[in-house]
Amino acid sequence: MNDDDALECGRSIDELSSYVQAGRTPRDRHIESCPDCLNVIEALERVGQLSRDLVADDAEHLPRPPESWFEGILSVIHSELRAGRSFPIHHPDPRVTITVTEGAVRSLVRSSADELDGIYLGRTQIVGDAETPGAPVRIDLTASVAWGRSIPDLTSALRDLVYRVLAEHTELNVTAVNVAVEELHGTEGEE
Amino acid sequence: MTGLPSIHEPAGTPEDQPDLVARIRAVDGVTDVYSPRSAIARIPGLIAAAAGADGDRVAEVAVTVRDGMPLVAARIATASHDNTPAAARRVADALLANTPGDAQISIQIARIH
Repeated sequence: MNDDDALECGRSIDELSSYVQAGRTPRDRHIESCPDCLNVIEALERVGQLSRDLVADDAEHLPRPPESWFEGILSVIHSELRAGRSFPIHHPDPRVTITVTEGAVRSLVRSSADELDGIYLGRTQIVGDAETPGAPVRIDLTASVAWGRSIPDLTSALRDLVYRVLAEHTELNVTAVNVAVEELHGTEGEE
Repeated sequence: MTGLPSIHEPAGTPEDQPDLVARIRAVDGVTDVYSPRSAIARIPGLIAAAAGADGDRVAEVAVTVRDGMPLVAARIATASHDNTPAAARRVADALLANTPGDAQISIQIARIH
């Protein structure tokens, strides 16, 4: 196995994808007890559910994103959900150190964004010295927007959501949330 | 609290030994406790770990010695409907109340869901 394909616990995205496809059976004691694996599994399951939902919508009237979009999302999950950096959380007692992993934060942002209708999150980057308390960081996101939907409205909703989620669950000093729409899905003639 | 649990002490053992996993799980906003990274758990100096089992899942709170001081390390998940920093601080307070006064406490939030 290529180390680049593995989480820090040693499990690969391919292994986790196979496990999800098998319905998480037989139960894998490590995977079910590993937060990094569980973050990936949750993301993979949401993508799978999204794919099924969009296929159902497509049967009625809504065009679905192209396969390349799903492949791109899987690639992003692969690259982004490692535990990564550790972001500090303050505690008044100097004996205490509290951190939240970058993977947990990215996973939270992704799961929150998936609840928005009409816009799908692509890459999530936390840019800046986020391991230093109070240091300014910016969040760079890419997204795909459904054809015919308002890009300003949807990107504004995504930006507000990310600000709110990060304010509630981290102590990052978020100075900007940038959203770049890189794709429209459901355009005429698209698969 | 005066003592630390023995290595890999299972949950539900004598009441005079603290079950740190159970204490963390009881904190509002905490949804799960995971074993510290294997690299941490296997370092020389591991003197104790409180373990809890939930079906086929395993959780541990590691107690190691760093520079002669006990270090209590926990890896947790928090609920997305709660405030994560506040929940983590409650965990730290629970551990401070149940470990020796010179113990260092390290909490890593590895999942928010």
